Amino acid sequence: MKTERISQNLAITLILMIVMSACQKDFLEKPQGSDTTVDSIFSTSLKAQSAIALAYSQSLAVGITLSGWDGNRDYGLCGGTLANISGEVNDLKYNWGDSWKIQHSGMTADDGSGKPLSDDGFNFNFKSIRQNNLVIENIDKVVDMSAVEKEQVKAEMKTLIAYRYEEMFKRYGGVPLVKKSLNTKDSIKIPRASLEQTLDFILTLCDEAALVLPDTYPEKWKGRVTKGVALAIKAEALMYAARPLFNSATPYMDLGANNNLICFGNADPARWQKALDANTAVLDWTHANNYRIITTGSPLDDYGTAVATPGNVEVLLAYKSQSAFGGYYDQRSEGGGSNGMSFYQMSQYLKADGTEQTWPTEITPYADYATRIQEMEPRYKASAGAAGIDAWNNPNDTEWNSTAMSNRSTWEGRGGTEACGRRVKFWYHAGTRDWFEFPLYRVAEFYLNLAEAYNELGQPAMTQTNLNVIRNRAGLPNITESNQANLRKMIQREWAVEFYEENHQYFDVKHWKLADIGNGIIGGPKLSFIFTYINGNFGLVATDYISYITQTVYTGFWKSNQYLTPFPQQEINKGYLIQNPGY
Amino acid sequence: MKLKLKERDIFQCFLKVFFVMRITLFFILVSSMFAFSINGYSQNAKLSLNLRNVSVSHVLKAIEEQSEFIFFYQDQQVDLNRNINIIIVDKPVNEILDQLFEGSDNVYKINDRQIIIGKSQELSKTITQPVERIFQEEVQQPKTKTLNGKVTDTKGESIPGTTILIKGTTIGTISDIDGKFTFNVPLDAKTLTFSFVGMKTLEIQMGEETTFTVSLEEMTIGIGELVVVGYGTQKKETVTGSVASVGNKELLQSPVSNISNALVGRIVGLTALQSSGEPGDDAATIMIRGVSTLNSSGQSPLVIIDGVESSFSILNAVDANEIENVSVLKDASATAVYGVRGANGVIILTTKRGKSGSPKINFSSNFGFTELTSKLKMLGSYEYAKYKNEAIRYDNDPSLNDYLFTDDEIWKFQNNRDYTPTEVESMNITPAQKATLLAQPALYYGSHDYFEEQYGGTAPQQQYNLNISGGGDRVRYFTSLGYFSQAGLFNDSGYGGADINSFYKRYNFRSNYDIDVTKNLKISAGLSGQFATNGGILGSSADGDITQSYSRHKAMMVAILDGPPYVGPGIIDGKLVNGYVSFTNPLEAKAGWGSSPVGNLLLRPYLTTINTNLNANIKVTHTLDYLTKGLSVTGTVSYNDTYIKSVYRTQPIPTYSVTRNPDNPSEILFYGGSVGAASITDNYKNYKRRQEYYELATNYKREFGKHAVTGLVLVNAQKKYDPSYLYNVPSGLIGMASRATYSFDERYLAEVDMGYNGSENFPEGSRFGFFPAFSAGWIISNEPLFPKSDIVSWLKVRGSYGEVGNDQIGGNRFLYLPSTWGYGGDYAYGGYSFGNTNGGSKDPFYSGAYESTVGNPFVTWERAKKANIGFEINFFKNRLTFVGDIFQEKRDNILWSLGTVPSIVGASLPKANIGKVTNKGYEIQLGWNDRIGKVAYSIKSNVAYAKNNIEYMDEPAYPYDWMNETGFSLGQFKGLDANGFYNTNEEALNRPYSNIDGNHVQPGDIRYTDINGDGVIDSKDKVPIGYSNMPRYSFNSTLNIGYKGFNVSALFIGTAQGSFPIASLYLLNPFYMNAGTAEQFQYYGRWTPEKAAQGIDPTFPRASMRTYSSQNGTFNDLWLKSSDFIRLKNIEVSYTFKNTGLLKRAGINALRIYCTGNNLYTWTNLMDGLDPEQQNSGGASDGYLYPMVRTYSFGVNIQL
Repeated sequence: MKTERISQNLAITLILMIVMSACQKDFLEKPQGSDTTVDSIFSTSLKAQSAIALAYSQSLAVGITLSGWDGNRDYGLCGGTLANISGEVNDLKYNWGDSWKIQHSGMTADDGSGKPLSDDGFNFNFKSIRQNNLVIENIDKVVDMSAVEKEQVKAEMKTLIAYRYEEMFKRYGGVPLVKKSLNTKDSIKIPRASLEQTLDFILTLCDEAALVLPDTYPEKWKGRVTKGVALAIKAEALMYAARPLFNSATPYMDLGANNNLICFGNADPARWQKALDANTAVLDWTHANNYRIITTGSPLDDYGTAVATPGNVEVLLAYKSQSAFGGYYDQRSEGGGSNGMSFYQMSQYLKADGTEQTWPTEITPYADYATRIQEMEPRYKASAGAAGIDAWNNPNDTEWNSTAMSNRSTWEGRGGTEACGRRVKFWYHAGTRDWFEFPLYRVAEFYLNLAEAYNELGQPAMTQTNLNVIRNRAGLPNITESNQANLRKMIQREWAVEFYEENHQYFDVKHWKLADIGNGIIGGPKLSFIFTYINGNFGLVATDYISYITQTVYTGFWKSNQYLTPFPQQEINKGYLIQNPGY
Repeated sequence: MKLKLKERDIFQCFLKVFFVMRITLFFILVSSMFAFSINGYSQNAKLSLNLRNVSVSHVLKAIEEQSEFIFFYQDQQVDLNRNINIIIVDKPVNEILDQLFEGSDNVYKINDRQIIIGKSQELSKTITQPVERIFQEEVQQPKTKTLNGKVTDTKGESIPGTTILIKGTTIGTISDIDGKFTFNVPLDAKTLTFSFVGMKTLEIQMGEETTFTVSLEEMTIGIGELVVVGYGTQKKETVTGSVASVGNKELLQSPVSNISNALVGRIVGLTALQSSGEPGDDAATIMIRGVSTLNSSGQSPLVIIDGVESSFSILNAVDANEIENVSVLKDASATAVYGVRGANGVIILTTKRGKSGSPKINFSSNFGFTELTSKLKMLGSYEYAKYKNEAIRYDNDPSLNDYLFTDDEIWKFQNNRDYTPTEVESMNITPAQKATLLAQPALYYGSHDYFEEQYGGTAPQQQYNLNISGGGDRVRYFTSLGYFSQAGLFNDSGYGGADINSFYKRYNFRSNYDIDVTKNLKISAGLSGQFATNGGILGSSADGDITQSYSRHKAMMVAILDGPPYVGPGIIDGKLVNGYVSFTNPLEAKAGWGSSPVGNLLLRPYLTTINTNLNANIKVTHTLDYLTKGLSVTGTVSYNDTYIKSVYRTQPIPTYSVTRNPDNPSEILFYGGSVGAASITDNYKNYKRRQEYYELATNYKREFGKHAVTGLVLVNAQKKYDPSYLYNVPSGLIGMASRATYSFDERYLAEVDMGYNGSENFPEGSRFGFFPAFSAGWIISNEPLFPKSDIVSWLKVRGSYGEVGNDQIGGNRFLYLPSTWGYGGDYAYGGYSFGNTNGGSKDPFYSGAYESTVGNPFVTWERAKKANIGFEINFFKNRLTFVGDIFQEKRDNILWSLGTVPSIVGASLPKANIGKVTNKGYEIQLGWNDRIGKVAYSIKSNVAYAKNNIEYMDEPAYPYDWMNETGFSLGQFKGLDANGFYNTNEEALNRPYSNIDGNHVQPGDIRYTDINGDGVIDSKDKVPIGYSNMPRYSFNSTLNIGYKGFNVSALFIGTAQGSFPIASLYLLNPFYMNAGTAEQFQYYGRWTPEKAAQGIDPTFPRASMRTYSSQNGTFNDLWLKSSDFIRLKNIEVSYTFKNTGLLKRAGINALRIYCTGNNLYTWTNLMDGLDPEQQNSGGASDGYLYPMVRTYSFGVNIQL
């Protein structure tokens, strides 16, 4: 009886188990094999194009604030542009934005919530580099692409990697060199390479790419990197290598045994020669390939076109994301409209006749302002909208008249948003267009690079020649100054004017180690025009204004550690990186 | 244990069976309102027998097998071995029996299906046609006597339903509703037994007396009670696992819409955190014995309703009136049978079923109203202006000077006027107009408590339930119909027909049937439905899914919080003002925008969601006593269908711009008010979920002398279909479970449990997991040697150890699939344009392709190893009861991110099963129940403690221990150690360097401790502060007092060692974004030099426009509040009218009236507006709250 029962139970158990296993196939389904894998992306050139498009979109985004609000700071600065922290634009409003915080309190490796507060999304650099490497490693799998095309794609990706490294180079100094897409199996805790190694890595990539890249693309593919871009990245990297922040025997702050991460360890004029050669090579290439300074004799329009019109002949490479920009570059939105040009930036501009403008420090009638502002040189007028005056770079456009500009910067009421100029630079004759292509390399840059290099190498004549190319286009008279120190100041001023809001000033003033960096440029008293209005109104039109004055509006933050960008504390904690000094 | 047998799959046949069952079920439902009571079975049942030369016993057995008749006899009275021949075709049973006993001295009596065979010395000689004769004889010759009496408990309460039997016979009766009984017994009856579940059986030797007043003693609490455990029930006294349960009565005491809230405080070891008090969105998140896993999506216990996996959303929609009890399984022994799903504990809800007897009709109704438990206290305009001026002055930032209020403005706020007398005087208006203006309340300079204006009122709530239960011999039924409705608390919701108030309405029905088809075949069928409709405003798409709590609660609160108390005038003269006429408002630059919070609310889109949930299940039990006694098989099929549809609507309402007439400012002009067209989107969300469940179980239960054995082997399979599932692949689960228990003499208990199951979420080849558990118990007080005394009446120890799994491991499903790529990407970074446009048009856009998910081919479930030891001791005749449990759990294989991978890899590597967490704790339950005179009372108090500890989560090597999460509890808050304030310039200058906010520190700022002593305040100084959001201790205490029909029952709950952060946005930051509101606790608690001089301790730093993301906003222990509290959670006062004459004439058996209050009073240190039961989720710590509600309710319960 007992054994019988046991065997019955066993039998039942067995049956149940059989039922169970039989049902398993039906019950436990799996998704059909329709997943997109790396092999399906790199099967045809059409699909691979998507991976390439993303590589461009990610790699070139550095330093450009696209997102409306990048709360995780994935892409870098959140709630402001680099111009807001470089001294070009006063960061008065939006005290919850990163740029406000950096202007008032500096960058930190850990803002209290574990994220860095800095000018860069460190992690995103490597996300984009991984994308580039994945394309390089997989493009050979594509069946309908010629070997030549594949080599060209690889060269493009190398150029993008070099661009990204060049951007990190000027921000951080030496950084980890990631040369392939990493897996957990690899040794992934790659330490920072020295400044020298990082530079060499960038130069090698550029040299390799320049051998393969074409000089031009079919119309359909315009916007991809040419040989000229590879040369330009190299030229820019060598400029930063030659400038005093890195090209020095001692670093800006001591990092002990690791000083070679942030400094070359010697001040070598030969670095200027290399920079000069590289920039000459770029200009040689541009001359051969029909890129040029736009000079039609109408300086405001020429400059306006060069900096703002997509696809113009002065731009070697632009960021061609044509989605609506987050507004931080756009005066027509509160993000870009609530903060305006700083007085520091204002004072870099000359009058159209090439002489200095002066601005009152006492309360002065608005009529005086209206007169003086109209005297300014064309590049000011192409870059700024003045108080009570319709934007010069969008004449007769109701979208850009004084009333419209005032009404659109209404955040927290409308007072004080004019500053020393509303932000209109990238919108030359834009009308209602809500996107622009951020210029990454413009021919003008290489003339100024050459001027700077020639000056540092003690060749005033060549310095003047190159500098005057830029001044002449702006309608300014030639300069004849030959004192090196004076010329240096003039070159620096020319940079500030010519490349307002183009992500140069932020790095220039640091790498030049300007004496006033903490006293009015980035840190120290920040000045602006302050206006008064009739009956407590705001300035919609000129007649609303009573007076103006130049005065301090806030105090900017500067400390020597701000010369370079902090690495995220989270990454430092992982033990493979050495933090820049002072963080 | 892996099987790879190639068998023809029976899935299809399962389905067929299932559809047949659905049809059957339908018919059962149609006939649902009828109670079956089959009479005359003995006449109707026709039998055929053809037996030759067999024993009497054989014949009886044959009859039993063919029919439902059961024979009762005493062996010595019936000659069972007598051989006879019997040939019968289609005859009723009495003809067979007549033939069978012809010539013997046995007589029989048929009582429906029961046939009693005995000897009748007096009658045996004469009777040939026994049954009728016996009665006739009895009537003629009374050989019986009538007994009567009453049964009560030791407190004197009558016990209805007590079984009273003459020992050794089947003669007996059952006591009535008053505990009274009357029945006839043979004159020779010697011993009476009284038995009732939960009471000690009493035997009384009869003498001559015929009236008995008997008082039954309670057994050890729970003895004889059955407890619902996984896939079955067990006797409470012999349970070796850790199981707690709560009955219908307690659940009904809480006037709340959902079960998860009704469970609060009723079960030891169950923690509930509520996310909001909004109707339809107020369910609590339930945890059992705390949390043992890192992954936040996998902490919920498994929900089982009537044996089938369900969900919290369905559980919460069940009407409490339908519930028999809720069982909570806590340790491995109790949960192992659920295998890969059991690790977080299991909540089993069992619904009511019918019992044989005449139909019982229950009607209950209650109605009440709700209001907020606690309100944020906002600062009025006058104080706000002063506070803001103070902030700007302290901040010393010239760019803020535009926000300073002038003295005139402050005067206006203080006096609720738009113009100062001087201003009025200078106006070019008539004296009458001037007088009007001087007396007129402000339009621009008003002061509003928008929180009070929005939430300050009360809202109605009501509930009705009607249920009928009863049954005959073969069919028992329970049918219930319920309705619940609750309205939201927004005032002014009706303006312009906006109708945006939240609401929740629900209809419930449930029908449960048990049908004894034959003696050994029983079918239980259940059909239930919940039809809920709820509505509420939608959030803003900028804040994620507009239907989710975060964005919705933000939309409710953000307008209150992000504007000053004068931001807009709201509704004036029945007109909703939503702005001032084009910049006429003098406060425009100071955030007096004219739009008001009520307008924001009224203009929001609104979503009405209809949630229909239908559930059907059929369970067939076949007892296999003919194979082996005690063996049965059960098959269960269940089907659940949830249909959710929602309607999106925008209801335009008239809004006005307002201004003072420039020519006569005393006149207020309104503009606008036109109303556009309403828009309705039907099926805004529309999806169906369904779930099928199949189960086949073999049960074995038998006693051999003192040995009692039970066994269970079960296979089950479940499939859920949900369009929201990844790849739209249904989620399947298949597995088996088994259990064996052994008990010797109810002294030594042992149990082995195991679960074996798997799902498609894990890689093929390692889909299935095996989860065993063992437990044992020793009832010491049942030992013969245990001294019998009134002091210790019950003593039991039990222990268990086992493994359970958790397959809610977080992340997507199918993590094991190879790495995938996706198209698109983030925002503007997701693609690029190529081409040569000059800006006239856009170039073609090329969508990007990116590496999306990197696969982990080894992904597996979480594993919990749990141990539990329990003691149960009862003292003083069970008046004092004690249950203590200590437990420990080690969870490993927790899916967690690799935290040490450098970001230079550039990809998020897949999560891996690396995390380890332990969880330890104890539970103590103490009960006392007694009576003083006629007042019966009881107190039950529980304490539960659970503390977890992160053992491993792949953290980088931090320089200091306290920076790790490893080694601390989950969610342990970390922050700087606040150590007072800097009171003077000197103090502020002479301090450690602060890495926060560029070293900007001044008097009135918080002083932090430089924990690591490196002279710098930075993230290295963040130490564990407070606890986590989930409290470690929870207590509850139930008090019951009964006197005659009166009953008062009170529930106190409380927690300790929990923390609530107020570190973000609006709660912490007055004037957020230069415009936000300020709260009273900030203003009155703030640092001022005066307070510093007087030595008053501030609770808030100096006034500043930027408390957030500054030195002061950095998370520190000032921003972490203790959520410890004690709350009078519930009190119910009721009166029951017993069977009095009047009621009886009205046909009412019982009538009970009661009033209840929920969340009545709270003792807590938490700031106003925050509820200690509130969870830090859905933006609560940002101030985005729909606060908890207090409910007052009155009800009546009628039993017919």
